[in-house]
Amino acid sequence: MKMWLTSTNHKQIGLMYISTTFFFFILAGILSLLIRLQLAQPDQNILTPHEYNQIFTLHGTAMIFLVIAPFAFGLGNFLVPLQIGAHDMAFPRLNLLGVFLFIFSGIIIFLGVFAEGGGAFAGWTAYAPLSTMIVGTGAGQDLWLLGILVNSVATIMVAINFVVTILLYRAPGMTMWRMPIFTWEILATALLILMAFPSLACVVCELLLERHYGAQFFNPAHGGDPILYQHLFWFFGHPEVYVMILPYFGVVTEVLAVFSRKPVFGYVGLVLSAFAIAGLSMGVWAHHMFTTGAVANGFFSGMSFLIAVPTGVKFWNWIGTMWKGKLEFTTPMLFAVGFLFNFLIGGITGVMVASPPIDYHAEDSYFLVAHFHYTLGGGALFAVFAAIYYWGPKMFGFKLNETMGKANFWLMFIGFNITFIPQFFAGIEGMPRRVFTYAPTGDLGWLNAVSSIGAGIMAISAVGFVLNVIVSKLAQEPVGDDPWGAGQTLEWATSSPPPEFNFHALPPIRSERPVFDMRHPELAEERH
Amino acid sequence: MKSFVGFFGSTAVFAVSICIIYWFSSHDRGGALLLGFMCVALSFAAGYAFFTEKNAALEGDDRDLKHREAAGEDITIVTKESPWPLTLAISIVWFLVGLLWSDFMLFTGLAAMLLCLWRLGAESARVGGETIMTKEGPENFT
Repeated sequence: MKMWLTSTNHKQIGLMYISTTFFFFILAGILSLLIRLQLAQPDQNILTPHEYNQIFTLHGTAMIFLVIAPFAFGLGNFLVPLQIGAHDMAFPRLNLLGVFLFIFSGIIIFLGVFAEGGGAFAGWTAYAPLSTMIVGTGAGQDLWLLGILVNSVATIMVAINFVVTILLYRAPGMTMWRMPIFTWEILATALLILMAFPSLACVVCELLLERHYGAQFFNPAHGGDPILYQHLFWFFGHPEVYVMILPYFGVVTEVLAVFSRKPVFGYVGLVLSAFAIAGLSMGVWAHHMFTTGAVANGFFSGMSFLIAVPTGVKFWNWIGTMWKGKLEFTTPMLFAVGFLFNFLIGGITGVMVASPPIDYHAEDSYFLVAHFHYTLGGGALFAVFAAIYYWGPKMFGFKLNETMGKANFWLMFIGFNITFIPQFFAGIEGMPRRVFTYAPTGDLGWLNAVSSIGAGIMAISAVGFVLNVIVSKLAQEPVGDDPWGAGQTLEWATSSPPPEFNFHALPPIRSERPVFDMRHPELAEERH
Repeated sequence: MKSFVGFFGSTAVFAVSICIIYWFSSHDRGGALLLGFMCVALSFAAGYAFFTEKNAALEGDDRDLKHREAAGEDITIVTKESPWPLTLAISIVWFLVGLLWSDFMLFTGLAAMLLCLWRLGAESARVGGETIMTKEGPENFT
């Protein structure tokens, strides 16, 4: 136990992130099931409106701040030093401080539920004045704000550590242009965090000052401006979407290359498109504010459309990587391909709502809910599973059961699409998000019933995953350095799990695929 | 490293460009200011990378360097464990809760934070019993 509390080893810290995010994922999943239970039929009263508001607030907060992004930090912590041939992260103690602040932030946010008046209920966006004293009283909202503040500080610490590690700790020969794509994506993510998260920390402090010290930043009755809140929040909020997806672009790239038995197609294009996405995402925040009528819709719409270009480049490269490869549909590969399918739907509907006339219709409807779940659930979450199945043997020293893994994928894929496709249609029919019930008009009844059935299938899939971990752990078949037999990057050159300082010996690094070069020196010679 | 400076630098130039375009298309001070801050932050990062490159011997940037050529050089001192990050994290949370609800928690939290920071600083200055990383791998330092 003492080891877990004091060890500064990056792999252990990475596993702390991953296990904590899994715990919060279960909590967030239970909350989402409660939401779907309440909405399964019209005019239900399983939950009160106040309980429902708290539940969707906590679900969104947990998935965004405590699951999807931090899982990538855990993965980055474990993998980045291994992929660049370093012994540890640049600032090990800052790293440990960051993970504890992250864990405490989650505890604080969830503790709010037990406060008088219940937990936060203003949604994960906590819009002012809803979240200030005008409406949102009670310590639950304060604890939520404190938790988010602590979380944002922890995230900035992680980002600084990633940037300095990648900048200064690369092994001899590991030039920037030989780094694995996952490491590049983590670097782009860290860049985004450093630009965006100070804005979140700032706006949360302002809300706390309003609630406790009489400041009037956002209260129009005293000269404040609620639109300012939205500016500051979305200046963080939109890049946050890419903080949650860029690392998973890296995961999918690595998985597709290994299970296509090919090098990554268009390496430079993938790197440049990551930075193009990161840069553009900083200039699109107000597309979340089209309907306020207070922003330059043309500017933000144009910038949002532009993001589709580098994203298209990535799709091109992923398809090119698979093209004429010896495709092997293992569980990680299935999840990666599932990611491509779901993220494409999320991306296309994203382009649709980047157009103000469509956004005016879709804003705050279930269409939007379906869109961002396709992006972050069908996208990032599928990549989370791809990463666990792919790097699991490296982390834990045993492989997860393939048959159970494939069942896990198909149930998740089918369940996910059954859950969220009906929500597009419910949104088009005008069902607003964040309402605790609805009237039995039009097709809303059966669309919501189908959606709830899909959520149940996803829950079965998640239980199947837990069973898979238990069964595989009990079987514990030992794995070698490279259990997939086609590893390309440096983490596959060391034991599974790696020794304390990562490597007993490093292979020469003369390309972005040093492990492949080591196994096939004749081909490496040819290429160089 | 040059790539690193290039990425941060070009993103800073991009931020300036969209800041100017945004200002002339919207005249919104809030948004333009945010983009301006972004540009400053990126320039800072590019500047940091630029000067670090000048002052540091970065083997990672040498395309043809072999591991044995870089072997033997001390690169950092690694602390394998420390109780102070956890203590500092508890102190920070204690302090923040005190900021809202309790002067006692506020001042004890502040004192605890200062103590932890002092101990972390002292730990950084101490090298005995820890591990020095060399290019060849870890060597116990005694």
